[in-house]
Amino acid sequence: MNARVTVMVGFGLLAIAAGALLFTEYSPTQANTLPTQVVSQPVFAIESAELPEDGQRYCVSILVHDDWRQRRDESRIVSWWEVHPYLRSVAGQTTYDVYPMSGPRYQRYFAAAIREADLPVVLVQDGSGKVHWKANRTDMPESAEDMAASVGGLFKSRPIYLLPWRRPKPCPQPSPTPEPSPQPTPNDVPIFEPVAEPEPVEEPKDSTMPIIAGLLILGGVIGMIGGIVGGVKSRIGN
Amino acid sequence: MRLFVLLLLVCCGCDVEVQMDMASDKPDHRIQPDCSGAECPYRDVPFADVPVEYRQANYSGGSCNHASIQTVLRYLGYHDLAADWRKRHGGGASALDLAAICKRYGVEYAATFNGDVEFLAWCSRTGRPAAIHYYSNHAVTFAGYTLNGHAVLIDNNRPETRIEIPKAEFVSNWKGYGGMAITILGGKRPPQRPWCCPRPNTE
Repeated sequence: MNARVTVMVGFGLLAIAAGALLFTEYSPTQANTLPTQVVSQPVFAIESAELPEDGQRYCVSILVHDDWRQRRDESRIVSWWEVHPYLRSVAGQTTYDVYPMSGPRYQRYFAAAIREADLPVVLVQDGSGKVHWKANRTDMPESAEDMAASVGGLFKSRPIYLLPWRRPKPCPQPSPTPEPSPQPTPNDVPIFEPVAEPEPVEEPKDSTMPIIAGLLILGGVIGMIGGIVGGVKSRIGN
Repeated sequence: MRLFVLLLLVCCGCDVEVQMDMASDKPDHRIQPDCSGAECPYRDVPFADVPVEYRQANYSGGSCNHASIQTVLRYLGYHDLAADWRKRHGGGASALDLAAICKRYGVEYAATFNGDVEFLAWCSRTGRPAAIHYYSNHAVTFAGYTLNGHAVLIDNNRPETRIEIPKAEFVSNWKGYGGMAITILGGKRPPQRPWCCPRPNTE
């Protein structure tokens, strides 16, 4: 009986420790952004603010000819990303843009790696530039649905970790939303008009973690009390 | 008791990876193979690799701060705003003046005026260039750090040339020049140069 009590108390302590660790790790107050200074007034009025840690944001790039609007296959692909709910959702949660071939950005970032004969090309890259999904002229999906299924496969094929705290971060998992927030077009910014800056995309916070931690701690406490009470009862009984 | 054993197993690491089935039984060849160990091959490219066409040269005999922030604006896609800034503002200025102009334009910005090195590190890892005070009575555009540990600068007096300085030396100099930096929030940062997994060595 004493051995049983010891084991129960031990397990209880371990569960409490695990719960406390979990709570510390996933405390809702944990900031995922860097506190630094944003100036709201020109002189000596420095406010503390949070800067977006969005460097690892995924990018969706559509590489096209300069006259892509006149090319049916290329304009069709661009329209898929603007109309299809899932693709729009992905575009809204990533850095999405269309890069005509003679543009400075295309020439700077893509010209060395992408041949003109392969256009149109759709790339999904992570923050380091690593290509996770790629389709070019010869293997382009034939419909928006196919494109959505294939791009969705990129995210669905990622391993799902049963233990959320073991999940690699960042782990973007776009999901269809009826009204995704559109990516702002910088050139649409009116001059001398107040500009509503886009909200930085935050990684979803795992709000269940504190609850799980609390349950673990509670379970540990109940287990310990149960074990001790059982032990005391058995001694009294004896 | 069984519950506690189960909890312990969950807590102590019997993790399982569940691989979701894809829509089709066939593997999608458009999904690039996983190469989590591979590293970006562009080790000498800064995180904010500004195209030459977007780099604003100095003008009006000394508008280095204005030119530096216009380069930042163009890189982030604010071409009309940069053009308007070029038309309306010039001459001597400081990062504080740039902040005031940003405020008038209604553009959200972030800045440090006390040599916060972490601010530059944040600019670099999130791919944002910044206008910084550097050299004597001068300002340039900080394009970020490279994986090789250098800071890359774009000097508006010679915008075609990129300047590489070892990170420690750069940080020390920057603090010596006042430690001021300002960048723009929002906008569209372009992706990094695309790269794929290296081909497996078959030899």
